[in-house]
Amino acid sequence: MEDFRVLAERHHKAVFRLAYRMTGNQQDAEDVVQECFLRAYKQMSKFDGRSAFGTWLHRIAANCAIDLIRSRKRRDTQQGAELNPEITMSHEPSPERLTGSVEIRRMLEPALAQLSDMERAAFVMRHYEGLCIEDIGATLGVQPNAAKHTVFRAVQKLRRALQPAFGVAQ
Amino acid sequence: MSHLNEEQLVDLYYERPASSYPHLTECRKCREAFTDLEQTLNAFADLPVPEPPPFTWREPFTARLASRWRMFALVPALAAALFAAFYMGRSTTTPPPKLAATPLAESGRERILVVALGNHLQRSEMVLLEVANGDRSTSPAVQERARNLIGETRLYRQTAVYSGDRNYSELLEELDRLLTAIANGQSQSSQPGTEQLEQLLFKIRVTGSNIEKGTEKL
Repeated sequence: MEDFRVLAERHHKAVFRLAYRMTGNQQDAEDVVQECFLRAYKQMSKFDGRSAFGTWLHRIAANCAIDLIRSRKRRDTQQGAELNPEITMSHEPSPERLTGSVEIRRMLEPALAQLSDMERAAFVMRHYEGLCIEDIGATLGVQPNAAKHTVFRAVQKLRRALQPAFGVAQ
Repeated sequence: MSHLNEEQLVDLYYERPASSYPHLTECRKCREAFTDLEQTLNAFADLPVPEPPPFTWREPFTARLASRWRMFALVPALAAALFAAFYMGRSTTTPPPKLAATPLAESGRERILVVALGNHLQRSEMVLLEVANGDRSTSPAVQERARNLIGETRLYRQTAVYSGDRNYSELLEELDRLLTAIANGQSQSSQPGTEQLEQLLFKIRVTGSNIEKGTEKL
């Protein structure tokens, strides 16, 4: 137990970053961290050591985040509170304002918020975690081709969202 | 010359397949498209992430981890609760109908308890009598018998307290105190006085008599 606590303390920041990027919410990210370490602790006997502990842990964290996102979505749907992604981007700044990187940074989170849960999860795993398409597919429970297409759709949406900043003609 | 499509550019960004480089170096249009994509995706490296709070084993986590152990821990607690419920059950469960042949108590369970208490009081009375009739320097054998009676006395007293029977609880509290003093073999000055012993013996006899007649309930 004490050994596991040491491992958890060592990896918790990275797991939190992954969880935050996937959920876009600090509270949810903290929940994911807790759930992730709980699952990891219970599944410790299944860790075969073929991958690094951190990689194994991040895969669990990604799964936890996806589960949380799905349950959150179900809850929001039941409450009729599902956000229209278009609304979240309704305050796009004009190109003239987008001169500095600060302005671009402000657009990143709303851009990610436009993605579907699967797209966001796939993009985060690909972009930030550097997971290969096969691993992303396995984590999301889809075929590699579907995972690849999900990442691609996410990138397309993000490019469109940041178009005012970079003036890219898509 | 066929240009790279957007999907291939995304692949190129993440996997950088060597086969794409020759075309990219030759084709200005694809190179520009790739640079645009790169610029957009690189911007996401700056996505602000708040500093996580220091890692703590939050309650649900520790609670859930401990849940399996808690189940085992609950076993003795449940056993104790069942044991208490057995004695206290008359206030929460419907007692069985009275039996003509059992005038001592309302139910069989109570009858067993009252009879057991009567036996306990008889054994306690014998110990107290030995102390009262002796030279008040208690022998190790009497001390041992008194010690053996203490736990049972406390259990009955607790039951009486829970069931709100003040007479019994006071009697058993007094008995507990005297038995403890005897069991500890305290100095003569701290041993129960003759008058105190006689008063308690009187109470025990009255209670025992009532139990025999079936007029006492717990």
